[in-house]
Amino acid sequence: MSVILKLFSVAVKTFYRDRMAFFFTLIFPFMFVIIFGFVFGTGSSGVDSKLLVGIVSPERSLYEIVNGMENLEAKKFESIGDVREAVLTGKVDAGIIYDDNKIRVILNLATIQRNPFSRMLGETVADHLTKRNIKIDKVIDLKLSAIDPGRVITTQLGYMIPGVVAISIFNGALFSMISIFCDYKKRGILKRFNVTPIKGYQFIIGMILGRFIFIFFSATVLLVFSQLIFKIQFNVNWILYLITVSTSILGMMAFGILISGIFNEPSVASNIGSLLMTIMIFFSGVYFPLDFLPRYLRKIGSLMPLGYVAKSIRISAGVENGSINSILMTSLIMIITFFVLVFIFGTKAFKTE
Amino acid sequence: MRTLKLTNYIFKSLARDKLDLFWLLIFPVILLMILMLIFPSLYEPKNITFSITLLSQKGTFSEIIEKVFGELSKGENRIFQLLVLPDSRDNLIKEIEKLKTRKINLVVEIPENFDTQMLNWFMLKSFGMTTSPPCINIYSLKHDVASESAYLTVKNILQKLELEFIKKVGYELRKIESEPEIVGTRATFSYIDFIYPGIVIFVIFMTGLFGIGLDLTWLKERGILKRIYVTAFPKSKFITSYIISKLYLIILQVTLITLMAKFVYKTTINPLSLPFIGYTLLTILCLSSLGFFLASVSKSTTSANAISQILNFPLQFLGGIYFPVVGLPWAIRWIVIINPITYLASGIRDALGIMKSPYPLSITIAVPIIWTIVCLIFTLKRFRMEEV
Repeated sequence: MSVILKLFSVAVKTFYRDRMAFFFTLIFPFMFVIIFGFVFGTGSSGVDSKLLVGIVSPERSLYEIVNGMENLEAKKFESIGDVREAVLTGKVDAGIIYDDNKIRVILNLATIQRNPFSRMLGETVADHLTKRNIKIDKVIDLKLSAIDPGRVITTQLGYMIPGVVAISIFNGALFSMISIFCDYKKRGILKRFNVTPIKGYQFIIGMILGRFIFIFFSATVLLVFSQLIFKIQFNVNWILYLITVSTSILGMMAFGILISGIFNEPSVASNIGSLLMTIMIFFSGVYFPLDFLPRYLRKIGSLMPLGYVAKSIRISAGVENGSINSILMTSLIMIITFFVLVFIFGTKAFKTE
Repeated sequence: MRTLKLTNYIFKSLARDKLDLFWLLIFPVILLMILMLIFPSLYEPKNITFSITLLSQKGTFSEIIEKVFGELSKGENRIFQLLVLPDSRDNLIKEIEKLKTRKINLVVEIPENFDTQMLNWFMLKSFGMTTSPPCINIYSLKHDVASESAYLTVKNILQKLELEFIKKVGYELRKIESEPEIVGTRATFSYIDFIYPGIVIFVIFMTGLFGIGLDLTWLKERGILKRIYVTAFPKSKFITSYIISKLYLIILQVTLITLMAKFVYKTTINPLSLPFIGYTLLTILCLSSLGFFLASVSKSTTSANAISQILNFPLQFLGGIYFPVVGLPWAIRWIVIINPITYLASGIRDALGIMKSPYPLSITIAVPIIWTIVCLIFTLKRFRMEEV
């Protein structure tokens, strides 16, 4: 036991001293939270950003209509040239020019990219004006109730952060296994340990435990710090979180062991890992929604383990609804996969040395 | 002659490293393919079918809504996959649960007495009296793009229906037409036109950071530069060969990306146009200098790798290569402002008529030039070939 504990403490220290591992496990996810959190729609305030619309109209009614519409804010302009220039330079998101029987909506590319439905802005405003001309504001009152998918009301950023935690787990677990099963082997470290009285299983347990604790710590720090910095509300079910994060680390480690088993050369394994990570970041639904992708791509997305890990952490953090049974089933599959693979490739790694 | 020989040698040694070749040549192509799979569907959603539950009532107006939704749920290009249920508390709870587990995208509830309220509303209106209009309840799921889009679609359809109802009860409508105009871009715009110059900047950035910065540090760390320094081969000729070999690589990268963009994704951009060539050269100058700067400040490949990674993501994602970066708080806006990629990406897109730059063209040229000068001065002062 003391051998395992010693190896465990060495593994923690090594991971902490390894600048690249430290960067990718702790700093990199933080950078992603900050960049994507601010770029995509909602900032720390949790208020969805409004479209600022420049208005050129002889009547005040258009200004009032636009100001009264959901997620729009009107700003008056004196001339068509001014509003056009403001749209072009991004000072306003859109411009509306009204000349009594026709409206012209000016949009720029950035607005369309930020809000694809801004293309419908013209028709919506025209319908409002048509009704206003017969002194009708609305015939049907649409009452929208946006249901929070989880136990707690959170922002878009709050919904995204558990996904970033999942990426951090994937990253740390995958590369730490490549390091143990490929890099250590290549550098002859396993060989040296093989001639000491330390048993193979003691070495593997000690090393994996060290990595496990560090990744768990990093993931939790990321979750808690994001909560504090961005004032996000989570309602973490800590028991479920413990189960989810622990089994996710093991599951992702299994993935790393598998890659190390297939590609023996550390640089190749690590590059395959990086490529897989890029693909998973795009297709796991953490940053970009999969709903609008072609059906075959959604199918590919549904095969990404990162997507399941992200969903499980979202459920544990209380920002998504889901059955606990499905989380436990996913966790069980991850544990079994981990133990089977660590047994097969662990034995193989020490035997070949 | 010897310079050319050395250039070819350096380039060949790079070409033999399969991993470097993969990340610098093949990966940008893969990235372009991934971006072209994801972003066009986000910006111009096509062929989407939203799963909607309509909790309906009996009555003329409710049945018209039901009929319109039914029509939109037919055929191959249907907008909705519709389930119509009678409105009841139980059905509502059940459907909201389905919404929460993402089995459906939206619940539209026509409440009890909707038709009566509708008739009352029109009757009172005809007497010049006003009352609050009848409501339709819509339940969407937060943080779910498909649900939010389904809501906007339903809202648009119901707004059109409002006009039909108004006409039906005898009002004369003077329809106001709307005409959209997209400014700062060409009429034939597509996402590939936006992303292609961005990917060109990305590959040059990768070569600058990793192909030059990391590579030179590695050569320095392994003592290769020191060994070259003590030979009779002139230092200036070595540097010239090194730069030309990297130019070979960049030409290869840009050609590969251009072929993909032109023949696979049919970009309308002319890669031989003066603005494209001009900004590409400016990008090479600026981002290669950044690579030399990195090699001057890094003592080892580990530190060079760490610095590259720290610079890589913020500069790449906050430079507007993949999506416009607007409306950011000052906490990170300063990175956008000092980032040379911001100006290169805006400048090249503006010059090609793809997207108007928020900065004057002179600034988009001046800032990268200032970066180039600062990086090169720093490199000349700090970089020592004999240093290990």
